Amino acid sequence: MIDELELYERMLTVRQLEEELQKLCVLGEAGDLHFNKGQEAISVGVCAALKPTDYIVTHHRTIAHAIAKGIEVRPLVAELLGKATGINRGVAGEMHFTYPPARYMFTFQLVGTCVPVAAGLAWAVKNFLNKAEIVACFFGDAATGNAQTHEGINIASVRKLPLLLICENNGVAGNIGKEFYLPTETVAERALSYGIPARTVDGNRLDEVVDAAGKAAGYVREHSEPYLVEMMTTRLSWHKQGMPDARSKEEIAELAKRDPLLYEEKRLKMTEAEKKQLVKKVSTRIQEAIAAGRVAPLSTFPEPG
Amino acid sequence: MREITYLEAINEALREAMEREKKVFLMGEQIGAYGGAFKVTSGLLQKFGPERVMDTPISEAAIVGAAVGASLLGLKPVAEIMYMDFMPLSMDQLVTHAAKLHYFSGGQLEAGMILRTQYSLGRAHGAQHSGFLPAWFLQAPGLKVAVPSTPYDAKGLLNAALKERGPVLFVEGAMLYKSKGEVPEGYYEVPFGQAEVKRGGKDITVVAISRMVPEALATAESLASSKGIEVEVVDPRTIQPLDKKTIVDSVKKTGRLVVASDDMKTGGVGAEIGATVFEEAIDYLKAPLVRVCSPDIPVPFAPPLEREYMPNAQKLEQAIEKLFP
Repeated sequence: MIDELELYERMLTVRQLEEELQKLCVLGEAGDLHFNKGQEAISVGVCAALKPTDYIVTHHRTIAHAIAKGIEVRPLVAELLGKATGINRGVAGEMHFTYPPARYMFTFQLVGTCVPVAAGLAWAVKNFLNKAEIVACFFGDAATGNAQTHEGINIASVRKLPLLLICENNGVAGNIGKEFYLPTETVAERALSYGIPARTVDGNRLDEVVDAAGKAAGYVREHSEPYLVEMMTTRLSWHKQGMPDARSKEEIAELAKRDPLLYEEKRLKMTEAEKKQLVKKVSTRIQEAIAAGRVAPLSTFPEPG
Repeated sequence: MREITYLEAINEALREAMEREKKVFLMGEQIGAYGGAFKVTSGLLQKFGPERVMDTPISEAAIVGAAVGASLLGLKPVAEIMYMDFMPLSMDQLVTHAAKLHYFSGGQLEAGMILRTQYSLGRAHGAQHSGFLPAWFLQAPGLKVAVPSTPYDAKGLLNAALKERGPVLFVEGAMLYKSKGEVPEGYYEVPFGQAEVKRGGKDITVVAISRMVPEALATAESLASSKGIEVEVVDPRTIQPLDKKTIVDSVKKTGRLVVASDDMKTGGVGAEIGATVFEEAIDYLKAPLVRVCSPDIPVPFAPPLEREYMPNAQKLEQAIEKLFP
């Protein structure tokens, strides 16, 4: 049974953590940061619908996926600060997380490159481990313009691999609109050409995400073949730190009406007091993680020699 | 000892590895029932089945990407990229992802995969099917690169590659596939980072790579009988890691260095080997470094033009003679 309040808290954690990490970027304490703001319901909802033993690989907006897959805030913050106590001993940063204990297998900065690797994981799960686990791969709508996405989906379909394809469709590629990279109305309709099932849902509604991902994951598990879920979403932040948005404030304000946190607060009939209490709880946890991260020793990996 | 071909030695190493360990599997274009473009994987599909010999679409990026993915779960994929010229399509996964994974993960993960490819210089396959491009892969810490020149080294290096925890690029010379040599039955390894002096000599060191090793041995034979020049032929066998010590020790003894390799001269493997010797043994050099390589132009298509283009034993011999006026 999924605890909906717990999922809301994860989304809130992602939102607040990114804000705090951005401050650390500006201070020169943390490295580059790609923001997930506005897309939190997808990673949180999909990972909730997966089994803890299912694998994920993901794209460059990583904080959300890490929190969603159950990685603790403290070692995550330490990682971004380059500390030895980080999940990857401080050398991965935000860009290159891996965390096998949570089955968070790899992060891909180069758009689209995660898909063939996810196919390889799925091949290994199916043909060698002979497990009922599946692999979920997160990528953006703009990644469908990349050849590796095509090659990866194609090979996964040909070989009927247990791969759940989650397309986070935020309608932008960095700072250009979809008219410059997507020739079809939806990404889902492209699935037809690979002979795999697909559907499009509102990725800013946590309940719809959980439902769609759960059904799709069930299909992948049962039939051992890929399924694509396109999740329509909104990037409410810059593409990354230091790269101001090409969209106007008004445009983003309009998109913010679909903020997944607002939707969930309404749906859960959360009172202001309840919300305030959660914000405080999450904020305290993040501040404690930052304080601990700041005093932790810098990474020495790999040892010289 | 029995003699088998370079191609048979690779096929045997793959077959024995797959018999030994279930985690070893093959993937590549037409490597299954067809046995590969050069027949290196011949007979393996029939023996091990389609779960372990995977015919793939013509997707060089996805072949290597999927190999990376499978390696993350502890498998040992051996991917084949048909021609080394196709490696740019695979390079992102090999160089940008696989090679860096150990570092990125703080040592938690390794992309323990092998990427086999071959270069066909000498077969009139043209400028997109002939390139020998090993130097591209020297700037990818985490990646090891083997360039076997004999059947013995091919099997032994492939066995060693299978034991590596990280990714290995294994570059075969197509012109060597039919060459024969002694190869033990069963398991043995040729360790990475250990050059072999293929022929001893006191007058000049020739560091030869891949197809140029047998050419250099022919040169050495010829110069010994015609001019009494004793050529020492050093085969690094792996260029990453590079056995600097064997090369430097040889140059300290002979005082002269020629690098013979099929790759292009500018920024090639010879440049790195030469620079290493300058760093560690410049005071021992009695003559300038000479590189006998391919010229800095695309490989011509027609056989007479290609012969003109390629380094060979004769060109190497002429280059060495100039150092002994």
